Amino acid sequence: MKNETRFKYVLVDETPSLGVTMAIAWKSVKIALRYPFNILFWALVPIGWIMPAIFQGLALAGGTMSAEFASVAGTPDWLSYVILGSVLYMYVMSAVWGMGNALRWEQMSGTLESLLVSPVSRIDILMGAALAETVTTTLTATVQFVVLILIFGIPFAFPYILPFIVILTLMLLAFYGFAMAMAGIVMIFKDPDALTQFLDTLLYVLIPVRYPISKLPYAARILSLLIPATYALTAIRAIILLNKDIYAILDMIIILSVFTLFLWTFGYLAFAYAEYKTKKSGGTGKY
Amino acid sequence: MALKTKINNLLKEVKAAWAICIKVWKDELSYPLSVLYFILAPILWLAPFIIFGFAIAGGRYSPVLEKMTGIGDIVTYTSLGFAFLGFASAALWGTGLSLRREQWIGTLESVLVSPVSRFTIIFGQGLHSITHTGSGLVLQLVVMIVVFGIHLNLWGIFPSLIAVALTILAIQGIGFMICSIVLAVKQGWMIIDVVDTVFWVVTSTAYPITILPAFLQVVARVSPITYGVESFRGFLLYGPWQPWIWQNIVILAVLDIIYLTLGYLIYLKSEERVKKKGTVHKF
Repeated sequence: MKNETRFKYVLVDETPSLGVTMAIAWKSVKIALRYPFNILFWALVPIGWIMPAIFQGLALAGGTMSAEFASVAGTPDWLSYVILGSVLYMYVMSAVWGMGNALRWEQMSGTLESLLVSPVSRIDILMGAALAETVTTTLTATVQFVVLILIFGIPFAFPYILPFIVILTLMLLAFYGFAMAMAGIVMIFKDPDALTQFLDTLLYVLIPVRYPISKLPYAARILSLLIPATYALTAIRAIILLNKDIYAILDMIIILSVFTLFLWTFGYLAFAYAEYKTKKSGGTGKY
Repeated sequence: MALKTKINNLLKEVKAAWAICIKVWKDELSYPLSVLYFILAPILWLAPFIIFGFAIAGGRYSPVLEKMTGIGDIVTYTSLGFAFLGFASAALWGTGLSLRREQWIGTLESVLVSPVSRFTIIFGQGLHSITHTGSGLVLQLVVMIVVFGIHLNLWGIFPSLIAVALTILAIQGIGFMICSIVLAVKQGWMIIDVVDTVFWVVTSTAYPITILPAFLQVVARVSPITYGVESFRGFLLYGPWQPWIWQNIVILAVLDIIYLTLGYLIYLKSEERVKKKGTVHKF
């Protein structure tokens, strides 16, 4: 009973402020920009990770179009499909790794305790980290996208830019809800590298980065439908590759909004509980 | 007498390398989640390539791949290539980060002043990677045989180990070069990641190297893993009687000599420089 009261106290201790969120985000972006080689690394090396899939496609299809691929994906252009999926996957990676890593960075630098006892909302702390992640990921994803377009000469068109932005934002919001729970795991387990790597690898298999989910075994397909990125990637491809308008993807927008609400509630509660547990055990400063 | 002393010294170094290997295993087994991940990960890394292959080719068989490689079965071609490259890649990480790990936990200076060769230290860490990823490789092959029904030529199993051993030697040479960079610039993971990514791109895991642009084909031809993976796959599918596979083995042996010599010389130079600057313990 006593524990429940204290956890409730953690929950009501919130007064979110946009100014604080922006300050935390700006601090993280400034730190990221202090390591320009890191940004260059994250912009260019993942292109190398995409290349094996592209060369494999060329070796199996004998070109950049495949009638078999069209029968499952709706477009024969597997190259554009893979490039778009792989660049967007950077955002999923940033959600899985980023927010947890931001807290881990504070832990390693010895500033997490100071941050948690400062009179700011934990929503601000988490959203500041998420915002900074979004900025750096957008920077690296844009560089990747441009380099890949230049290498392969793909004429990507963005006929409906607004629905694209709406879907991307909803995907990010949903994933950052999930990332809050990941940040909670970092608070408790300190270095959950194995779990994060596992999630990263599993998500890559389950969501439609390289292939539509209809090619997955049945059980995996069910799991895939529980991940917001599945809907986001499908909707974004529908806009860019299949030239669909916002009305054609309304159902996806509704599903992503529901995911966002659910994952934010779950993520926030999980983080608050992790904070409560860590403070109770006196392990906030440990790393 | 001198020969006996030399043999004794060599045995002592082997014993020290084995002790390091056991020490790293003990460290690793104290994190059971990590062990579980590294058992499952190679299968999860392979899955997107197999599923993507099925989506592109409309099934397990690709006539285009068969025309280029003589093997039309996507699962057989890719899974054997992947198992081998995963093994080689882990060995590269193990050797390349060997000194960095000691730096992190603050024991590098103590290790470097202990009366064993530094190559024994690196080799001991590499030995751990080999035993660790070797068990992963066996597990992967078993999964591939059971789940996908891949047919292997039993006569090729022993010769395929020659391909594995020779590739590991060349990787030790490349690992020495990476260690020398890690000693100097500390942030080793980035360098290894770049080298590893290049290997993943230019190695014929899911496609033959003839599909690569000309400049990448040049890189592939100087990479020991190219010859390693071709020999490994060749032995396991066709047995030990194909002359082209043995040609690859000879090239691999020559690359071993080149990479080990270069790695050794570059490492010695780098260590001398770092010691002169007094930055061994910094990280």
